[in-house]
Amino acid sequence: MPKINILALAAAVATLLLIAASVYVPWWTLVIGKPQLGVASFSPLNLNFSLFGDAMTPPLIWALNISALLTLLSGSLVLLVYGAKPDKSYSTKLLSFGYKIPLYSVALFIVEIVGLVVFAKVALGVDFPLTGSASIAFPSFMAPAGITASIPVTAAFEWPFYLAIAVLVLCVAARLYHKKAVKGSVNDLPPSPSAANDNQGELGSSSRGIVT
Amino acid sequence: MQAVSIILILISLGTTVVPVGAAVYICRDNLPSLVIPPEVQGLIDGNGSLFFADNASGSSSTGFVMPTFVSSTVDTQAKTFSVTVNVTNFLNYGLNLNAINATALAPDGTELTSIYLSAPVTIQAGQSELVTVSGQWTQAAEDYLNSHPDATSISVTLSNIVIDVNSIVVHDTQTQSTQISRSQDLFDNGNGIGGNGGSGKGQGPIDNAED
Repeated sequence: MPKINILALAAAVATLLLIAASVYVPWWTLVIGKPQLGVASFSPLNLNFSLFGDAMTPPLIWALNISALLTLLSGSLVLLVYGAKPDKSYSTKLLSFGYKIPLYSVALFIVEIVGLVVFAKVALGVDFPLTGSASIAFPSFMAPAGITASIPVTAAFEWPFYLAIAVLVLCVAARLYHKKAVKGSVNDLPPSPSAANDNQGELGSSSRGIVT
Repeated sequence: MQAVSIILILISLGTTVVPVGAAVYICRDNLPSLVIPPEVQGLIDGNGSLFFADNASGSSSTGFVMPTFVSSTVDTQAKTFSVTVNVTNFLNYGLNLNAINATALAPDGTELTSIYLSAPVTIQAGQSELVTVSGQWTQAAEDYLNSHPDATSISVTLSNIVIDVNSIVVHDTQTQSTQISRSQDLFDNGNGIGGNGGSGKGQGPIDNAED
């Protein structure tokens, strides 16, 4: 029976689903104003900003979105190939490549979001929430003297982010399951040369017996 | 094995470098456009179509349209007044005017009246709506006016100005001074503020001159 790494196959399929979802639904959104004045949508595959309903995406951001999409896609396909044949000589390299990509994506995304919030706090004095609603005050340099202004914002992690966490868990599980998947295939290997020689010895003596 | 490693390295490089390189190549004649969206670039160049509605009439180069006076009413028995203005939303975005609050003070600090928005108003992009601001004057205001019967205008200081538009709350902690002329219709002793009774309806403009 051909050996497969079922967890790697599941991780690959889940990654493909994650890619499809992330193109349309962001991992984290920041809504500014009530009613909505502007929205910042963050995901490795679709980072964009909209103001007054008009989406604004600089070309560099667009390129990075495409790059992330291709990277995740390649990782999922590589995991798919590995999962189907985990016992090949090159399988460990495929696994090493494939399972790390969602890991890097999630890690970089978290660093990006936390970094953005920290940067806004330190550089602009604006305290964005990571989740939930808040009324943030405009920094003093943005308002004339004597005028204070505040604007409501709402931030939330969307469901593709939690799907990405699940994909990450599956990838790590596939990596841990690799040894078991490969170990199972060792038992199906042909008998060792010493056993083969014993058999040949029996055959040789019987043939010598015949010749003699 | 080495071939697999090389292929994986090429995949990594290709998925990262090619899209970014393509974007750089496309924007090679104008590299700042790599990070500046066309809409923001348009704003920098003076094209305010992202923010300003096309069908706002009477717009200046910035699109701003001054509110125009429509009417005013005075109820001397209730000591209330209301002023209605026509406000044009010159933005490409609907505005919900939720609150306007201010306190008018005399030069000596006497509180003359409190001003507030009568009811929340929604003004669609490029459209105009009537906005009514109401107020209730105090006895001190009547006394102040009666003590200055010959004054042709009144110096009023607005303080604690709070404006709530689309839940964006702007609070002006500084005072804003303005001059209000004593028009015959509003400040007639027999028929207006400081008078003995009745209510008046004004149609003339209020002359405001901000400091």
